[in-house]
Amino acid sequence: MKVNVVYPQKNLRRDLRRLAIYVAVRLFPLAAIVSLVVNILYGTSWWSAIVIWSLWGLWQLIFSPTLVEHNRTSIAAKTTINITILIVIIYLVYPDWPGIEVAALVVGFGLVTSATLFFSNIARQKQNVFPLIIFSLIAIVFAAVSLIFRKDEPLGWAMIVAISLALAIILSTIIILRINYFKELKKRFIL
Amino acid sequence: MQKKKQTAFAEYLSYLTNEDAQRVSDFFINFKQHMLLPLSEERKMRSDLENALMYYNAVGVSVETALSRLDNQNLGGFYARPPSLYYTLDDAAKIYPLSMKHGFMTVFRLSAILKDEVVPALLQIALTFTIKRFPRFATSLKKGFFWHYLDANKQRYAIEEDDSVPCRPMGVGKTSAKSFRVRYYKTRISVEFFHTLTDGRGGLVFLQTLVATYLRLTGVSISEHPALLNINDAPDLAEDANEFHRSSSTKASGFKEKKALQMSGRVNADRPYQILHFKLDSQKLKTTAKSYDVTVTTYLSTLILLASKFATEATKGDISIQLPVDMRRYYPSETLANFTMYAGIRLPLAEITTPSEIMARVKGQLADKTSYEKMSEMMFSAHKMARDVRGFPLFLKSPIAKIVYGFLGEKLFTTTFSNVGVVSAPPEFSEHVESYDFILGPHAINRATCTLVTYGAWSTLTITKNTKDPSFEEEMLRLLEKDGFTVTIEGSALYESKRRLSTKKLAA
Repeated sequence: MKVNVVYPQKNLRRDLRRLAIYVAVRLFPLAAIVSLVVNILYGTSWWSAIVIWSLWGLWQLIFSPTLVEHNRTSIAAKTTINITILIVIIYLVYPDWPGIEVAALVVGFGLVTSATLFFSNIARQKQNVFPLIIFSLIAIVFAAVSLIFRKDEPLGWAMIVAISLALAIILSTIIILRINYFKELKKRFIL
Repeated sequence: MQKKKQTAFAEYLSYLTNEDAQRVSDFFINFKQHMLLPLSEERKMRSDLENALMYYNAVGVSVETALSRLDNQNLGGFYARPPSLYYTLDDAAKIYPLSMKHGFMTVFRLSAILKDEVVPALLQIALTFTIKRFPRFATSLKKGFFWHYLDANKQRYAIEEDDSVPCRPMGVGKTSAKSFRVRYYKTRISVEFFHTLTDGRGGLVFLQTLVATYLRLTGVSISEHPALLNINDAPDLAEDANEFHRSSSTKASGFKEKKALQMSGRVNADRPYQILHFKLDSQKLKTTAKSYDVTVTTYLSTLILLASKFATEATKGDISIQLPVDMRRYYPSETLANFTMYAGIRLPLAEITTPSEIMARVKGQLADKTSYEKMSEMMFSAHKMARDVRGFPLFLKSPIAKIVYGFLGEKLFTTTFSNVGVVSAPPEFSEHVESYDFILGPHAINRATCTLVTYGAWSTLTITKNTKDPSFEEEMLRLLEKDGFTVTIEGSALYESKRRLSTKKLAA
């Protein structure tokens, strides 16, 4: 069959990312299963939960990022949430340290990072306000629940800092975006 | 580079008479009044206009004529207003963002092949002028709490040189990402769409309008025509309508099918593997179909069934073809959103024998499955399904949709055959446009998909291949030649990795 070529010649380069995914999609579940089995057979604590969540976090961050709204604000928010959950898991497995307070500090740091990335180019980033709002709300809920249960522990101020930062971010976005803030919310809740 | 361009434009200005230089200066002052985009975008658009002016100068078009063709009125208020609109997805479009995966999304491409080489500087301006008439397309895909939606996104939409594989997935996740791309290569202007934006009919209206605007910029006078939109008219609300609620049926059906056979051959990791355009004499195609007492769609569907049988090593099972159906045929509509459903033709492998023997059965199935009642039922099903799950948050819908699409989706069909029909265009197009083609993006498991588009003397049957196995297209060619067609085949070379090419070189 003779084909008259009317498209530009395109020699595909070796896709390293696809190769990495090909390896990871086999290696990650294997590593998770092996760690769980070893943990069940020989472990005294549930350390495999830490391994499995870490693998999941890495998978989401590197190999399977979100396909819609994969922007710097959402990446920062999602990464912070994953790290916070990891810290909480570590704390649940090894409870002899102020894990929840450290998690609240990480949330605070994540809020500052996300907000900096958002406000540094507001003209372009204003369309990405929703991930920041959701992250701030999650941060408030997490920090408030932590505060209720651990108000007598040292480092309790970490939760107050996280709540304050989240509220400050929500207020700042309302002040800066004004009516557009509520329009944005309306769009996001179309049924 | 920027400095070099500025120098070139300064040099161009220096050759102008004082009167012309003043005209150009006034033109750019007026251009500024039409702009509210970020400065970086405004500079790029200004640079586009400078390039166009220099092109006109190079081909001997007077400054006055050039400025009238580039008239800033064509920008309207689109770039001078902040983006505020948003668009909900129609019921058919909702599945596309939910079912997309890394390396796979539903993309299609419509192309117009001109008789002269495309001038990129003018095509860029044509896109800048055209996009404002299609505000639904000037959007970014966003994630809501319940559904995805399209958010207005004002920017300079840039054309791209066609230097990559057609219908590759688009990075719709980035900030200000667009869901379509305009590409050019030699005499071809192509527009690729993420299916969530529009269907073949809507895409064709955009392409036709873009080509008309481009031709006007080259100095061709194009008359008004129902197949294209006037770029300076205000967008009509009806063009964004989700028409699925209009179904006259209250009976849901249409999605219950069993798995179909797939053609043999390993699906290539890099898809598509090859694009093939079979150029057929449109008159001969019409008369051949008529000689069998069937439509062109029925005739080609029959050949596709036979070629699919030839391309599989399976011994039992059904071959099934998915045929997209434009619902505007049943429910007249101006919408540019998706308004397409599908019908499926299915025959057991053993019963696929010769064209003359199965043609009547294919005709019968098509008539039944594309009847007003059946299509209305399917349309009602799509609307009902979207309505029933609307209250579930997206993070719940998304994994479920992926699983359902993975289990069903393409597995119900062996291939897809989409016939967009005869392209209607203003009479002036015939002097400047040679033909059209239509490419369906690569599917995840279907080895080949087919499309047909007819314009003037040419019907272009396009096959998108996902496997190296040439059985399907070779059998299609044999069947067509058996019916007396002289087929001109155009297309791409095989899209292969460098490693495989170098191995072949060594073997040679």
